[in-house]
Amino acid sequence: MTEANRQQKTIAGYVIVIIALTLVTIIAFFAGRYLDLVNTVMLYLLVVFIIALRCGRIPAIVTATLSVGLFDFFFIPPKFSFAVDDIKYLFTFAVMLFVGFITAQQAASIRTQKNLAIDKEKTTRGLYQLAKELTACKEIDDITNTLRKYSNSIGFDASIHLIDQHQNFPTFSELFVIQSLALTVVKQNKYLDISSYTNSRTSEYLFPLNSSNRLIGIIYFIEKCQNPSLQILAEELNAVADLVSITLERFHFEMIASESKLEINSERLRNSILSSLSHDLRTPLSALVGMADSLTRQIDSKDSKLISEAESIRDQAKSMVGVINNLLDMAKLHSDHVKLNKEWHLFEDVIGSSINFLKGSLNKHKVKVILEPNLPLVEFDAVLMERVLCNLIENAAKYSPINSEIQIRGYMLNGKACIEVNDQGKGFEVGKIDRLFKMFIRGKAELSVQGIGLGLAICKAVIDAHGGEISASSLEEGGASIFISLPAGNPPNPIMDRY
Amino acid sequence: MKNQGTVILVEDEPQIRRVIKEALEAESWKVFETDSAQRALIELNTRKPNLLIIDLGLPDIDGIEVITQFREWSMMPILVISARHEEHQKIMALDKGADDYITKPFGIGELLARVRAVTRRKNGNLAPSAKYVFGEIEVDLTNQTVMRNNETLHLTAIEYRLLALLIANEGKIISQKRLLQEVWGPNSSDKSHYSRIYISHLRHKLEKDPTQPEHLLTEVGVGYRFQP
Repeated sequence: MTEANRQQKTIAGYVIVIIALTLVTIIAFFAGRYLDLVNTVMLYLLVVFIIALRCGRIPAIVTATLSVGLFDFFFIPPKFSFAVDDIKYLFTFAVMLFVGFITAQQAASIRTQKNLAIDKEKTTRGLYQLAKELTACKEIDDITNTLRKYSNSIGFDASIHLIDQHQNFPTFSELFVIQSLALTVVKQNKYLDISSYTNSRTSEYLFPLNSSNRLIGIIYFIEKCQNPSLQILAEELNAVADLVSITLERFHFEMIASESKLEINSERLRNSILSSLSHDLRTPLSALVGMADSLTRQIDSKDSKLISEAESIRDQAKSMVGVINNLLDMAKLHSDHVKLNKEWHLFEDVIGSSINFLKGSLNKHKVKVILEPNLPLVEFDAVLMERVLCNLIENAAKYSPINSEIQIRGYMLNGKACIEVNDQGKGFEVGKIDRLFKMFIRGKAELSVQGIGLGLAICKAVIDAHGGEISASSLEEGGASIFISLPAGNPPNPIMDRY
Repeated sequence: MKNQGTVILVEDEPQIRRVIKEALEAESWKVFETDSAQRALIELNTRKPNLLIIDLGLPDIDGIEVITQFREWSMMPILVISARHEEHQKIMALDKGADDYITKPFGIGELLARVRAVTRRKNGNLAPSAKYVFGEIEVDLTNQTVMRNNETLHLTAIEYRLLALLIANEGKIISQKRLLQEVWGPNSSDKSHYSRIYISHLRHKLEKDPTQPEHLLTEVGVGYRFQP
């Protein structure tokens, strides 16, 4: 409601008062001989009552006062004078005034409440409409437009400013003070009148946009015309800010959902490429291994040269499968999420199965396993750990002389579960040790550094994923040593039977 | 050599199929081969085979689906051919009723050993009175005693149950889940570390070198295998 509008209404109110009083006075005056004075009083009170309902408290009080005056002047003898013959009429005047005032008061309060209810209802309807429009919003520009439309209808202009990861409002005022005020508003989740900071004559408010777990930004409201009461308005603007917050939150989650969908899709693609690649590469090699093996069984056992050639085809094909497995392992491990299937295992188990897996290629070496007695259970992904140990033991066999010993140790050290794989080869070249693992982190794996290349990089990736450590060193007595440590954790305690 | 029976061989790669077929035929098996799961299901119904060898990665239907359907009406042994990187598939195949698996690439010797293990009559080859001997160990299944070089070994009740289960399935994989269920009873599938500790105890009592076992083998990620 604007100021001019309000004034017009007040003037109209007084015009009605004058007309009504004039009418009543004329009617009562000319119908005087049919009407008692009491009836006249009633007529005046009726006018006061109607005015109170229609026009409010002040016009009603004016009406009541005027009624008393008119009644005295026109109807109380001596007529056409304010003098009063009979003193009892003073009592009538007093009661008339009193009744008039009370009526005015009561009627006006009813009216105010009615207006308030209408206003509130209008606000609620407006907010409901806003909520409905916001649900249809697909982009942040839609929200801004909807918000602006709504704000205009209540005499404001509004804009949304989102907070960025540095806790700034890049789209908002460049003034440091205003920026920090905006930050305070979101952090305290309470609106603020900033007109005093901006030296502006109209009111300016910042309302926070927050969700349960993150700061979103602010709405900046600037008043376009004077508004009656901030108290009611603040409530309404808060509701608006909440609606906008909810909408922005919806955007946020929609974005997360679509991002994770994208991620799932690319992960799926990656996996399907990997699995079809591995299938296509391994299938012919598997056939080759099978056929070469079947050849060794069919060749006359006296022809040892042919047999050994067939065997070597088989073994070469097998080692090629090993290389492909390593490549695929590496590709999988380098994808963003290495999914570990961690369970509580004994080192003994996985060391034993690794040696068993490599049985064929270890027949020229002595493998010695030295485990500290009563090693606790350690949590790791056994399949991946088996790959690590296979790689390490295979390397040891490759780089150490025939009939030498490969030693695998398992022990606890400083609250960590450790495995060492030692060989009696030449050890690592001084100065190269650091590069053994680093080289691969950068992805510049040189396959010319035979065997060690991919194998150690895979070991590193697996151990890293377990939160453990892996390091290489040369032994004093010669030979290479790889050391792995894994966090010990809190192993479960199975109930043992004793009988 | 006497006729061993009928095998249905389901493998989409012709070269591998040929190698397996030749190897089995040399062992007097009658081999029916097919490259698709659809055909396999038909063959299984009409041929009533003694053994099914199936690759999990088939072009039309997942091999596991064939196993599930076949198991609905037949108890015949199933041997699965799978790739190395697919531990969860192996476990699923075993859960659905496969008896064992062989990992590509495999040698003929390994294949034939697996075939022999799964076709040995299920649990039936050990008369309860039998004495079972492997390595230096002699197990008396009647009196439930275990001897090494004629010296009695003390096994706890659970250790003995574990050993008996492994012996009854000699040469065959026993999945972690099945082992837990048969030795510790239902509702024990979350206690896989139990089995690891008990297998370790058994190894220390029975194996020459428990860190490089010859009989009680772990198939990492899947289960255990007893090799006499």
